Amino acid sequence: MLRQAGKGSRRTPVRRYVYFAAVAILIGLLFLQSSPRLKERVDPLRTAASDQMLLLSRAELSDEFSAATGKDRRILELEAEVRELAPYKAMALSMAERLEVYEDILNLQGEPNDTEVTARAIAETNGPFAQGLLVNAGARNGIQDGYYAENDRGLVGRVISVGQRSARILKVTDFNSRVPVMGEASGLRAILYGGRDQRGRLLDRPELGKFIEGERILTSGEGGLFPRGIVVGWVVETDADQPGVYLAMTDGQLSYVRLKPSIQIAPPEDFPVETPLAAEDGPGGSG
Amino acid sequence: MKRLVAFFQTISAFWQGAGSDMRLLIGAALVVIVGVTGLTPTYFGMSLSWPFAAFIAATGWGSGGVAMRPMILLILFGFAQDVSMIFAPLGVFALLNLLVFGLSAGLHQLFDTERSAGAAIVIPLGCLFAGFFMLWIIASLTNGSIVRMVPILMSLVSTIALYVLTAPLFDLGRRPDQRGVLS
Repeated sequence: MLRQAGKGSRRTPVRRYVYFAAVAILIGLLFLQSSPRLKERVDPLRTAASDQMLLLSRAELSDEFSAATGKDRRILELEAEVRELAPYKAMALSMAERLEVYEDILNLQGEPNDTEVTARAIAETNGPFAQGLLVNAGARNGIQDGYYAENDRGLVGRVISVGQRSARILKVTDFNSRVPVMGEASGLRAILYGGRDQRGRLLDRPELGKFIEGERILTSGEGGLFPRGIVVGWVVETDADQPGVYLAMTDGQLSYVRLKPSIQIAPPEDFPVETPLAAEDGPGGSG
Repeated sequence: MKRLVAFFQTISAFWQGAGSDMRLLIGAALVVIVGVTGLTPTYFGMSLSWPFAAFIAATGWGSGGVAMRPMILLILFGFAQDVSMIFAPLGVFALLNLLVFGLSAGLHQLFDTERSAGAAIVIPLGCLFAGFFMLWIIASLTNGSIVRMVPILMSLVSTIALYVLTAPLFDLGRRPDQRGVLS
C-alpha cells in the first residue's frame, strides 16, 4: 500500500543531501583505488587493522566457548595417534640418517632450511572478494612476504601481506591464487588456481599428456614461490578442459598453520663467476 | 514458567521504554558481536556462511527513514568490514551498507508497512537481496571475473534467518516521516 504523502516527505532535510554526498564520496573512493599508488597507501591501514584484530581474538576467549568435553576427546584421540605413530617415528629417523648419507654421496643440494613458524589462524574468510586467513605471526616472528603456509594435510596458501604481529594468507582455494604444480606419477606440469567448486583447477599445461585420475599433485618448485614436492591434492577430474584437483588442505584443520620460507635461489647474474682469463685479459685479449 | 514469562515481560517493557539512542546502541553492539564472532569460525570446528549483520542493521534502521547517526555507524561498520578479513577495496562495504540503508528508507517512505503486512515482509527481504546482489556485482567487477554465487547466497540465507530473529532489535521506534530523532 502506497503511503500518503505527508509533511515529512515534502521536506528536503539536510540529512538526505548528506546521504547522497556520502554515497558519491564512497563511489569516488572506489574509483580512486584503481590507482596502484593509492592502493599502496591503503594496504598499511589494512595491516595495522589486522594487528589490532589480535586483541579481539585471545585464545582464552575462544576456549571458553568451545566445549571442554570435545577437547578431552580430541586429546585422547591424539594420544592414541601418537602411540600409533611412535614406530613410524623411529623408522623415519633411521631413514633420515640414511638419506643424509645418500645426499652427501650424491652432493645433492637440498632445500634451504630457514625460519619456520607455527601460527594460529585468528580469522578466516571465504567471502566474495578473496579466500584467506589471518594468522598471529608477523614480521616480529621472522615472517616475510612470500612465505607459504601448510597444514597437516598439505599446502594452504601463501603470505601476501605482513604486519608486525600478523600476516594474511591467500588460500589456494582462491580464484586469484596461482601455484606451479606437477603430477607425481605423470610428471606433467601445470598452474593450479582455486575453482568455483572449492576444487583446484589446472591450466597452462606445457606438456601434451593427460593427468592420471587419483595421482597426487605436488608443487613443482618453478618460479621460486614454493619449494618442490609439497602435497597440494590429487586429481579427481581428468576429462575437463581444466582438470580438477581435490585440495588436501580441506581435509585438515586450519586453526594452526605452519609458515615456511619460500625458496630463494639467487639468479646467476647476482653472483657471476669470474674467470681468471676474462678478468686479466679482457675481451679479445687472448686472441 | 511464570518466571520466564515475567522475564520476557520485563525485557519487552524495557524495549518499549527505550529511546532511539538506546535502541541504536543495542543494535550497534549486536552488529559488532556478530561481526567479530563471524571472523573466528575456525574455533568452533565448523565452516559457516556468516550473516552480514550490518545489512540487517541497514535494513532495520532504514525503516525509520534517513538519519545521521545510523548513517555514520553504517559507514564505520563498512570500513571495519573492508579492512578486516574481507580483502575488499576500501569503501565497498560502507557504500553497500549505505545503499541498503537508503533503499530501505526510500521503500519504507513509499509504502505504508504499518497497514500492509505484505510490504512489511517483502521490503526488508528485497533490501537484503539487493544488498547481496550489489555485493556480487562489485566483487565480480573488482576481481575481474564472475565470483562464485553460492557463498553469497548462503550468506543471504543466514542473514535472512538472523533478520527474522533480530529484526525488532533494529527498530528505532520512529516512522519515516518523523523528524528530529537521530538527525
